[in-house]
Amino acid sequence: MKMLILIFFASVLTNNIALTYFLGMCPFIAISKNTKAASGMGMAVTYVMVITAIVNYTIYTFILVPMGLEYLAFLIFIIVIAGIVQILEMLVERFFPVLYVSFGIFLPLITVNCAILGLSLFMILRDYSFMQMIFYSLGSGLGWWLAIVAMAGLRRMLMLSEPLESLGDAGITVILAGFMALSFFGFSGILPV
Amino acid sequence: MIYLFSLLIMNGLIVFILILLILIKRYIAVYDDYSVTINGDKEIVVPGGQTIVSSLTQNKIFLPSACGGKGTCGLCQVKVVEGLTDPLSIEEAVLPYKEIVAGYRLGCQTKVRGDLKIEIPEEYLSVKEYKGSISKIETLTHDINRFDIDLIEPREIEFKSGQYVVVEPIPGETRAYSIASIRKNKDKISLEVKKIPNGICSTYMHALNEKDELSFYGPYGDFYLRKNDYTVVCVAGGVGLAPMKSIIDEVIHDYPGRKVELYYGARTIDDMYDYERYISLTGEHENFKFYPALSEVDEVLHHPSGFVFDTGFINNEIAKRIEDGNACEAYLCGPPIMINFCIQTLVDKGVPDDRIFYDKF
Repeated sequence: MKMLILIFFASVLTNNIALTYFLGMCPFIAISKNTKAASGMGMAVTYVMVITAIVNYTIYTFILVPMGLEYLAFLIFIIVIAGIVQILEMLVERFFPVLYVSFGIFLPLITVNCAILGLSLFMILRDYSFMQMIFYSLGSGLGWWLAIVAMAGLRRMLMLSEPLESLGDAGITVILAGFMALSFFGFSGILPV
Repeated sequence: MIYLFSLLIMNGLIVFILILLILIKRYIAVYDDYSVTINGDKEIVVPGGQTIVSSLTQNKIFLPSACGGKGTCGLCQVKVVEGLTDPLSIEEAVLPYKEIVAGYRLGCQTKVRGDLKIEIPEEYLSVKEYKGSISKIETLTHDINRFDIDLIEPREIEFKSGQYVVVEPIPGETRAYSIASIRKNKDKISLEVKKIPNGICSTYMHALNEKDELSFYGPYGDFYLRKNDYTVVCVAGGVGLAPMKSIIDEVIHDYPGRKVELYYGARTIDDMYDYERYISLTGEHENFKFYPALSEVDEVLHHPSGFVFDTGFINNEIAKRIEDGNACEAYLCGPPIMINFCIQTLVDKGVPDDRIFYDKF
């Protein structure tokens, strides 16, 4: 139990998938312009991460490993993610229009998000058990959500502070992400994982 | 053996996901049919789950779009009177807050999820899909071609001078081109297209040959000649001359006594076209004045007819020539930077804001 909680907080704070591994940078920079959209994107990523991690884990342990086809993991994970995102989008749009308005429109953007593929690959690399995988994927998703919402909050302040024009919109965002990564680095001592 | 296995697993998985997708789309995520009432009188029944634009398109009502449904140009906005849903973030980014509260939504983003009552500008109901065949291609400058198009289906087009049509060479990629022919010729139109390096639509247009077929939608736009007695000031930059031909022709022939002035700016004389036509027009009609200016030429150019091509930007020419701005109405078409400068000059000259119309491209 203690291990599960450790894994959860490690994936949110010390091993934050956006700020430590710099995965999923494309939507991180593009959608962090306002807090509401950023929050929607974060929720969508969390949602897709948990579901794809479960499916990918099942396929990996029960099909690929017994047949000795671990090397296919990369390809299969991509296909599964693309397929699942499509299915989720259709179902959410049909049955949960309110959810669809808040984060469904971001679902197609996640099909090719590297954070989600990265999560599935890390999860097999670290030999997590089923329960550990659930906590890990949930933590990573929430960590990404935390990072993008914090970034959106910072960027709102950016409007008032007139950064160098030559840096442009994306340039200053990457620099900000760097500072945020530094501050998240401060968490690294508190957890043994 | 192992290869066979991996192939089987891969393909099996892909097929499984595809079948699942098709099944869900067919049997689980199905929508009912909903009715959409347009402007309170026209009612259409459409299957739910698709955008307002695509359900209207199926019923031959064409909303304008310059971005091809990506939700960035904001041209396809409709007012939803009944059945309003929360705005999507894309809409909040494009539409001003006041309009969102008033019920405006983007037709390419908002989907039909219930019975709707919407309002769209009346003129869009007369927008049709036209098919034509190119009768003549004329090279005007090194990068501008004129395409004369004979209409095939429908055979006639009604438009206001200055309006534009939309060409869609590949689905989702739309570009707007002003109608560069006069209103009286109802069975044909001309388009003037400047070739943009790596531009999808202009490259497509420039690759067309005579006798090729071309389909387009239109007419669109609130950039058209207003009915009044003000002096018409036409300001054109480069290929922005296209809509002026129709405007000038209409003023000269339908409004006896109304004055019209054409300010035409380009970089060099090689970037200008049709100026011979306007020079001779100044001789025929005393109410028509033509003031060309070349921005990248150092010396004033003298045309064989005695006509003078001034140097400098076109807004300087406006500042020099216009005397009473309050008696003028301005129509501007050209690159955004030129339009911004010219609007400033016109306002300084006393032309009221609401009498300045422009088309930026």
